Amino acid sequence: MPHHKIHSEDYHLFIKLYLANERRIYGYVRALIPNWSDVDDIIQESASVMWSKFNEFEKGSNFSAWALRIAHFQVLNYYKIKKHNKLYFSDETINSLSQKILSTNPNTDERLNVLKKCIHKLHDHERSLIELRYEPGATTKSVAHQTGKEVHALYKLFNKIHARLLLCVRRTLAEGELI
Amino acid sequence: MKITLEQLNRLFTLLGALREDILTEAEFAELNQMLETIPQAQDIYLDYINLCTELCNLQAATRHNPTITHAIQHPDNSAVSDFSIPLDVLEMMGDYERTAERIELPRETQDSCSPMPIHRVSHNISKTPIITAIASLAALVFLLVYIYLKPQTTFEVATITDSIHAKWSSSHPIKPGYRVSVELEPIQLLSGVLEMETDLGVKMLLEGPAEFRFTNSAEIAMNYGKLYSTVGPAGNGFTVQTKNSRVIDLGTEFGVLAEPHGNSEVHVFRGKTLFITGSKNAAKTTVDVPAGQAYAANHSAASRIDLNKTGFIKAIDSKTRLIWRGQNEISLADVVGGGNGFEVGKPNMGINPLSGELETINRSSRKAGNRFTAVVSNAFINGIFVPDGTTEQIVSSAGHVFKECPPTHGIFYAPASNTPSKFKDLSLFLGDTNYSLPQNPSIFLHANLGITFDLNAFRSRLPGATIEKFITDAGVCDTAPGPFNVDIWVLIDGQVRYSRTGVTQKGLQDQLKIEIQDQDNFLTLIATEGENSDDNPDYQRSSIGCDWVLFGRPMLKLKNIP
Repeated sequence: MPHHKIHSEDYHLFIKLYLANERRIYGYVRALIPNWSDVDDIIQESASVMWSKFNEFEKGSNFSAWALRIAHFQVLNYYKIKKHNKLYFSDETINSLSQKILSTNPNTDERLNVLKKCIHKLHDHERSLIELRYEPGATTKSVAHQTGKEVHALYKLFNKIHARLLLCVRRTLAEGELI
Repeated sequence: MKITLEQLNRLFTLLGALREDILTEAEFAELNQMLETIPQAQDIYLDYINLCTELCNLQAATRHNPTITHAIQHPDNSAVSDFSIPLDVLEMMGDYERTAERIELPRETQDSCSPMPIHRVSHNISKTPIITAIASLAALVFLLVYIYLKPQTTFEVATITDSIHAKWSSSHPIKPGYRVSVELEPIQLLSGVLEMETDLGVKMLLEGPAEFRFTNSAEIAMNYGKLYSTVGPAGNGFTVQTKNSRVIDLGTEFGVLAEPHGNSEVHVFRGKTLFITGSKNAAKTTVDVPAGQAYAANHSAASRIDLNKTGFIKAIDSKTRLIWRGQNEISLADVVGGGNGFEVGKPNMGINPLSGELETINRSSRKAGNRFTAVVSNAFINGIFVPDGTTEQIVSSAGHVFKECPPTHGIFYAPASNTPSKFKDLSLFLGDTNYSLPQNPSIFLHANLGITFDLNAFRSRLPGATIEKFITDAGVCDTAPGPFNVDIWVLIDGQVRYSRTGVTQKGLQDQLKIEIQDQDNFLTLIATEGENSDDNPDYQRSSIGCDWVLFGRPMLKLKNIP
């Protein structure tokens, strides 16, 4: 239960701030948790903690930093619980990745716009394959089944398309910084 | 330490395996080792995670069946895209592709958008991808609210900001500030116009009859109706779903028309959209629609159509009853008739200079001081006055002074009037044009009279448009039944921009084109009695006799209309 009296203004403010930062929070957790099946749980836990502690948040201060700090603790907590299976990033990697994310310009909108442009530079059939692959519930195998392609060939093609998109986004963002 | 080609190859292999959920324990340890020791590998890793996440976001936002047949039929699986990559990177990529290790895929791989466990752990929680940028957030917040607050069945995503004659099927009254929620059932807008703004800054105007519902804060499903949306940076990716198409914003102003039987149109006025057509379970076609273009979609195909520049309501203002469809002219005659410039005002109505009120045209010589009277009943008229030149003639609420104002007897005879059908039983002509007909709107100013329009009142209600110039025909009515002597003036912020004084001849008419700058605030039209040599009090009333000044088709021309 929340530890503070609920005001509808708080609720609306929280929603507004969370909405504005949700992608960054998600990206942060997903980068630190390679086991993506657990990302949902951590995000939900983090959001719960954020809301329960929202009365401690200083209005007008940096919500993103505050939210990421909470998400970070949830990630550490996750690693603490899951440590026995030894399938986790080392402390050094986590800290290093975390530092990198926090010091990166969080202009997710710009990145998304660039990605859209890069997707449009793909050939139609490549773009279609990416669309198929990222349909909710889709897998490389299901795409292979739909398109009649061999799974391994498709896997290699996806590797190539992802690498191409990655390079296009990096290059475009880098060019933008030079202007 | 800079990453080597060999390491880059290996990293891409590992990231591909991570993406496909086939990363082994040993490979994961190897990935961790690379991230620990090679700073560049961390950058690539983070970018790769971002890429996969954003691809999920995009596709979740689009949520359509792609052009499957197109993908199947393409003969070349390995065609190189046409965008350029630096040579050294291309070289590395080429090497990477040549030396890439063969990966054995498991029998069933995991959805990239869904969790990708290294070791499966039993979960009771739904594996539905949370990162559908907004939809999932709605679910998440719903969950939070449900658990921690009070049960709520909906999630608010937009706010009503204005409406005109709007009636809808919801039991809630339509009023500014009302929050619209994500709903399972569509809302019917039976009639009128509704203006809303989403929490992501998408402004939209919905014209009834329409049926719609928000599916999340970034998407509206419209079964039928007309929608015009202006999407700000935060709302990028905003989507309109119709029965046979999806329109995805790429930073734009666009209109969508959805017909009840399924056909739809997109008209793009600024920026660009993606228009994805094809009904459910059918192959889809994606069209980039840039500004200035329009496309229509039926059940089988999308085709280019003419842009309908005035086909969508682009702005409303309930206080002034303004409904703007992007017309490029504002009729000042309509404003004088109690309107807003877009055919709302009434002919044979005018503004009384003594009261500033709208009234029917009545005639009688009346004495007035030269006080500037505010017109509170019409936001577009700043004020009205009877110039007499005895003291400084104020012509605007900002205190602009008409320095050139000649001395007059301070008498007026009729209100500033919109298109009188008759005046003293006579139609009002300038040359061959009958300005008593509704199709030839006019402002009739019988000396002595001045009226000032507030240019900013128009600007603030017509987003994006610029007032370029004032155009009109100006002269004295040919049908004036006797001799006259009159002055005609046009002022901008108190400065004379046009004048013709001592007009005594019929048939004189000037075609005015007065440029208006963004910093100009007020436009004033004035008629004053001409200079009279006779100061006999008996002549005072006749000093304004037949001073029938007419401004034919007085229009503010707009440019830069979205």
